[in-house]
Amino acid sequence: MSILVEESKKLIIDRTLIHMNIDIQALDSYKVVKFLKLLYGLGVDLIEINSDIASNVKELPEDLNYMLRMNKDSDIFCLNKYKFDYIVIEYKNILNFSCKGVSKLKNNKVMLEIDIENLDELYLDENNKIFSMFNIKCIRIKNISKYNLKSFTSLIMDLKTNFLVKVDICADNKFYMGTAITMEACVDGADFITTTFNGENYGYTPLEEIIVALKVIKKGILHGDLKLLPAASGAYTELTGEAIYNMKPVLGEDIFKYESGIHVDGIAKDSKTYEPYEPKEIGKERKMLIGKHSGRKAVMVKLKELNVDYTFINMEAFLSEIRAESIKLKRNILDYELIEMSRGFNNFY
Amino acid sequence: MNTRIVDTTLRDGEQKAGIAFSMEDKVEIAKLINAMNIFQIEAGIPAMGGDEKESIKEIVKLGLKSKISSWNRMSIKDIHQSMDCGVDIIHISVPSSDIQIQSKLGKNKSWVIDNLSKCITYATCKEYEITVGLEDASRADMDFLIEICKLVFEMGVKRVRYADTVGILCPRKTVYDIKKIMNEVPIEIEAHMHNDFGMAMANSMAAVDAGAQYVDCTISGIGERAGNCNFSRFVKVLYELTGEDLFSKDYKSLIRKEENIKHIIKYGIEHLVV
Repeated sequence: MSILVEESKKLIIDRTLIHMNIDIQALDSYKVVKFLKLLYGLGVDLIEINSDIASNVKELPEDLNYMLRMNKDSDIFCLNKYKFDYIVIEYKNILNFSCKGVSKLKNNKVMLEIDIENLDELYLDENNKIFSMFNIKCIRIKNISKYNLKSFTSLIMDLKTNFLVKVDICADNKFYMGTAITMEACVDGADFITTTFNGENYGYTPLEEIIVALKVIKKGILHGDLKLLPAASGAYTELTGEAIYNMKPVLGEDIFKYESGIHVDGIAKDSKTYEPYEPKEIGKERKMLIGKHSGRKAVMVKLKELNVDYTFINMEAFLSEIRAESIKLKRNILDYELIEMSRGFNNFY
Repeated sequence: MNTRIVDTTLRDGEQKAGIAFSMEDKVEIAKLINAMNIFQIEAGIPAMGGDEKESIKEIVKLGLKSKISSWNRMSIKDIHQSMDCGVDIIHISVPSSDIQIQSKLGKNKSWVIDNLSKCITYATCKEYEITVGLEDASRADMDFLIEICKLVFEMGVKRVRYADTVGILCPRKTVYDIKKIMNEVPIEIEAHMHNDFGMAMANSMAAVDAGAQYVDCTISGIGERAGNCNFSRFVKVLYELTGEDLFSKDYKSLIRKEENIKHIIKYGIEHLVV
């Protein structure tokens, strides 16, 4: 899977399961598996879980790749249940493992997770103690909350050169900059990106935003199918019980609805005028609504679509009525309402 | 820093498909926005006529502290409608990318320059303050943007709106473009960001970092597609990252006013961002 950005491969990690606000004991394994398979289809390379998830989901799909987040020795039991590509250990916890625990992990690749504020401590340890104890293959930098207008390149390259590791970026979305930070880090040399589906709700980079942004803005080549996004949204809602905000970038049900005369005119001529990408690329469809901001052309197009002959309709008067009704209802006019209204204006009747 | 907010809830916000404000709604929302000490309210599009034009007239009559502006296509007929409303600022939107000029207008850059000159001449003759919107600036040719900015600045326009119409900017390009324009033309920049990839906040902050003095926002971030820069979030992030306080250290009061506006909007209120 993965995504190619400027000819460099980036692996995509998703850790929605760790962040979602649900009772782990009551986790429905069927819903988890359905959601995970859709994430895999979207291009996610690695699913991050913790011991709670590993204990409570009956069986995780075998054809996916996993990372285990470990906090303590007792989490080691999970290694007998599933095969993990990486073990994620936080820098502040890594020295808490016993000799036995360290020994059991010696054949596992470790991703060391460290706060950007603590990175200097890694360089200060001249003996590289933790690197001699664990098989650290990747460093995940977390808590990056603001964009870097110059570059993350030296930060990333220094880690790679000094510790012979790959680098993962796990941006913090507290200033709503997760997608921007992650996109910049990809261009600046990050090997992995850590994301969460609908991540704005959890304070992390939203998976759906970063993969579509890398594809559309950075012309990345995604080895996944974005048309699965609506199905993934549905599976996410089934699993978490959380509805997706109707204007949520990429996922929201309203993002390809349009009404104003200027946009209707522009999109009719060339959809690129007012859309950053084709809705069908992400499995959606655009929908023109009729309401206060509609123009004559839009109403005529809609009536034709609804098989209403408007030859004898006084379009100016009808448009005024549509606007008045839309204001009264505080919303757009639904198709059946428009048909009903048109009868009163059609002199043919 | 002295960042000024242009609230476009009543124009770009209302353009979100499915939203329809009455005259009373617009007047009430304008009063609440004014109470938030927002510099400018983009009140609507007078060329729509009917209730929309009357609403703008009513808002102007309130004599609010916030300046009242109206949105216009590059058309003398539209501008005349705005003058009828007595707004403080006439905003003229200029399609600036090739996609907009060729596909939407079916014209060329020379036509844009000629027509824009005529519109500005007409509006300045009547002594109106004008701002010019560089529609789809993020996909436009930089040389053409600079040509427009030089022209309008020489004609007396003090501020242009850099619009990321389809939300494809990222912070570094935002900074590059805005600095480039400001280096070439001593004109004020108003940043207008859309949230299609969830980057409206990052790009608005980057615009401020680059020197933009004005930022466009909407209540709850409502607007076309995935919306615009969310006002309450923006002022909070601006404060946390730069210390600039646009809410007089009373964020709770600002949120209460925002809640009142959401209540008026009603549309999908259960989905509006808290």
